[in-house]
Amino acid sequence: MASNDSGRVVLSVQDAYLSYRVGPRHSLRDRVSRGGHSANEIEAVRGISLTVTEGDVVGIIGLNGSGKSTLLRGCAGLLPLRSGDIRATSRPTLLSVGGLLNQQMTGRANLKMGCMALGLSGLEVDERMDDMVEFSGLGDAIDMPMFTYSTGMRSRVNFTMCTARTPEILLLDEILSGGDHSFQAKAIARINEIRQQAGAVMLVSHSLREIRRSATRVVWVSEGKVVEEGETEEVILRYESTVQAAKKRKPPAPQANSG
Amino acid sequence: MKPAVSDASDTDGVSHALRSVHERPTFRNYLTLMRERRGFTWFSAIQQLRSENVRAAFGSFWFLLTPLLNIIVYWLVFGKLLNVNRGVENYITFLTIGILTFDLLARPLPGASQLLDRNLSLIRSVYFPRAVLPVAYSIEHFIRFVPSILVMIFFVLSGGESVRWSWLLVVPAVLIAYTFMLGMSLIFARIGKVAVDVGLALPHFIRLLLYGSGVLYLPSSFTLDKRVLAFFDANPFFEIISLVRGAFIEAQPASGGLWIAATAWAVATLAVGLVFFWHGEASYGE
Repeated sequence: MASNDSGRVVLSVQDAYLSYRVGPRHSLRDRVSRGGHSANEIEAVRGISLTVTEGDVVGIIGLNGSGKSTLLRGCAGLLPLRSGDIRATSRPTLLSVGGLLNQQMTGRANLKMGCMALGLSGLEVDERMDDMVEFSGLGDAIDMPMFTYSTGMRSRVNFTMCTARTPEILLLDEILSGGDHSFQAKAIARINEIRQQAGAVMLVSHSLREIRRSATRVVWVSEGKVVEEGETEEVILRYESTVQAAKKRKPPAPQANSG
Repeated sequence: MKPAVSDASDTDGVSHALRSVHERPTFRNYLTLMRERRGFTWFSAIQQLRSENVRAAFGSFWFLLTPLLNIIVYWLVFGKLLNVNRGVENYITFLTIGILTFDLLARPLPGASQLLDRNLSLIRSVYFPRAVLPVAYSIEHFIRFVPSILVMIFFVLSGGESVRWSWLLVVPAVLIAYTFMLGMSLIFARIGKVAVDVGLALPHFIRLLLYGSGVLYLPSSFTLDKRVLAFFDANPFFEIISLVRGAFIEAQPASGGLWIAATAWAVATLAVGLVFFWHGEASYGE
């Protein structure tokens, strides 16, 4: 393990299996034609184990549909475990694209509602609102309904909201991908700040540049399993060469976009 | 790789112990968590109401127009066209209170059974005690009911009733109705998550309930069969509707026994609903 072994363990995943239900647990059709077996589950994570220690920024890489996002949802306790165990010193906060945002509401109302969903009181939110609006850099657009926003503006609101309170363990799912360079720089600075406040970060991204810039180590996931885990540069290089080799062998096929 | 679990090795703070992220809080903690999210609960209920009817020319006025038009249709058909009374004096007043109260009690239920699936992306994005969703939903429907009280008062007055102190009994009666509806929403939210089919069958069950709760007629003016009447008397929907009627209609006061029975139903339903919903807490992200 390439992490700083001296650190305190803040998140421990042991042989975790996570799946999505796409149909009823017991359907009439299964009873009749499949002998009671249900075909209504998609297993997205199949036996992943990893440990995150204080100060770690773990980059998670892999193709679309490899189970990266599902793993983060499982770590945040949002998706029930099929088997295995996920333990943490405090409930990790997941930051992903869009799940919290309501398109009909203004950016400001979304900030308020999102922060309250994350556990801040209405008063605390009101106190921080000016700072949050400033950090988001949205200016007057903050009072427009969200459906008028661009993807980048949405990701600004989302990032601002989810980092309003410094969580001990932060899980980031493709969160930096939307914003422009000026905001990305700010966001990375914020992530580093959280890291220094005795936190830990798990980061899913398709931008290997971004992973290189912030991850202290990398986990490579494929088909719901860990392929390799270790020092950032080593794992990324091997991942890149494998992806290149696969590209040469066959033309790239479109992947299911549930990654 | 075998991860090291350092449960007891840390001595510098209790919070350093590793705990399962999927652990269900104790019931007492759950209630505390719910209380901590009350701001979120109210805010999301009100935002939901605000986002409705924004495209309509009459806007929020529809919250009043909807129950009003609902009753006007009944008034036209039963009062003007057919001129029936089904053995009840002042039938339109009786009908108005019955329909609007029944709407508060039963109309939210199909939506409650789909609530968790409708909010799945929210549930999979952030943790909060999930009971917040049915509570916010019930508050939304309660606020929606407030204009219905105005419609009731309008038809009660135009039906010839005069303003009396007993009208104030509407307040506790409506609170009992709300408590009961909240409990039912909690129960059906979980049932609907496990069995989608229940949600689909629910509208038909509610229609059956409409006929079985004395909304459109007074059961005692149709039958003298003691068993049938006992069924109606034990039906919480009928009991709660009778309380509201008792407050407004001088000729149909509600007995003390009815108040006790309805209160017991409401409190018991809420208690069962909270415990039942809390029990499924870990599964709602499925």
